[in-house]
Amino acid sequence: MSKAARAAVDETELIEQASKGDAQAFGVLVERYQRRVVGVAMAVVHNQDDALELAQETFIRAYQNLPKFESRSSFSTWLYRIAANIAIDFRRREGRHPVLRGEEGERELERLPSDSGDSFATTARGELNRRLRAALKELTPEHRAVILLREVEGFSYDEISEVLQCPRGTVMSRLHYARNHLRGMLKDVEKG
Amino acid sequence: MTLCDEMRLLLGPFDDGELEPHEMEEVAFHVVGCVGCKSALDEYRTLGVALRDVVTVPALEHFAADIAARIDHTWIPLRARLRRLRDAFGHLGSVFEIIGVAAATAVVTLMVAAPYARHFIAGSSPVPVADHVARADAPPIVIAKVSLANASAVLEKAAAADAGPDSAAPDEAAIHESQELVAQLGGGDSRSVAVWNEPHTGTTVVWVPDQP
Repeated sequence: MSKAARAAVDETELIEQASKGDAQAFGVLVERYQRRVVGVAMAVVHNQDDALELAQETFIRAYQNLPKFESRSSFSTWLYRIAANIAIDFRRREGRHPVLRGEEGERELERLPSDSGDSFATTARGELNRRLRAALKELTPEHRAVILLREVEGFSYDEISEVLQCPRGTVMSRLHYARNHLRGMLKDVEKG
Repeated sequence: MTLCDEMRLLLGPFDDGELEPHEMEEVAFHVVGCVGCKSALDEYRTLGVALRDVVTVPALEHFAADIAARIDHTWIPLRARLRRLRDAFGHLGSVFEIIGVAAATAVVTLMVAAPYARHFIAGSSPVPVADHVARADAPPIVIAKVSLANASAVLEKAAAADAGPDSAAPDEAAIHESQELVAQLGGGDSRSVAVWNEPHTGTTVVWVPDQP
């Protein structure tokens, strides 16, 4: 049996155990998928604290609904879709595009790479990152979600289409628009 | 639209490996010979690297532990709990489930059917209207479909009779009037009038269809 097949069997067993209420088995699933679930939430809400909270909510809801999971899609896709739905609902509820507020904004600024090393490369990189963040904020949440899921999380177009529940063609056009927008910004930095 | 414009639409999917094999080949041939498109492709790649650098996932050290703690206090839907309980018994779970469903069905059936069964066993059966009215101890029957002049008088008498044992006892006049009304409607054997006892409420129901 191949490694992938063994992992799949292992995962099926874990899901079965977890759906019977085995919290330990569910804990293994959490550890396996936490990084990407947070990534999906981050792609939609673009805020670390919100993304962490939404990712927790995703796992709680998944645990409650595990007996309903019927293996029609893969467990990971099912989980990411829950994460995307929760994050999209959150964004609608908040009625805002993610903006940095007060302390949150200050903390976000502290996370920027330090340019105190006074080398030109570090400074340029810091400037690039700052501009890239600003350019990401200019994108609509839909465009930002698509490009972050692709570039940062490495989702395929079909996965993005399934998780965000939009046609593959829409994924491609949003990706094209977002890339061109960000590429324009990169060019400006190079010229500057 | 120039060939380069067309190719640039495909550069992203090309870099992502999301094109059909023949399209991949076409774009690859073009990029090798086109400086502008090669440069655009490089920029897409740089952009990908820069994005991965910018977007950092927060630390997740206590993430799983936090979820485990929340799960302990999480409300689980009843259906899911029952399913988990059933699964916990293995094969016996299905047997218990069937027995449980059968027992619940039996209890509901008994609750619904018991009053009817009691009446059936006691020999109670629908009473012809005339017999019922003729019984001296029977309460006066209120018939809704009467002429307006009669209706108010009959209702008043019936209300007085329903008020309790201290109030006026069923008087002869009311019984007589009821008998007359039933006779007008065709008597106890008429199919157009039905009388039955409601075992749940212990009341007598008279059903009278619209009269011409």
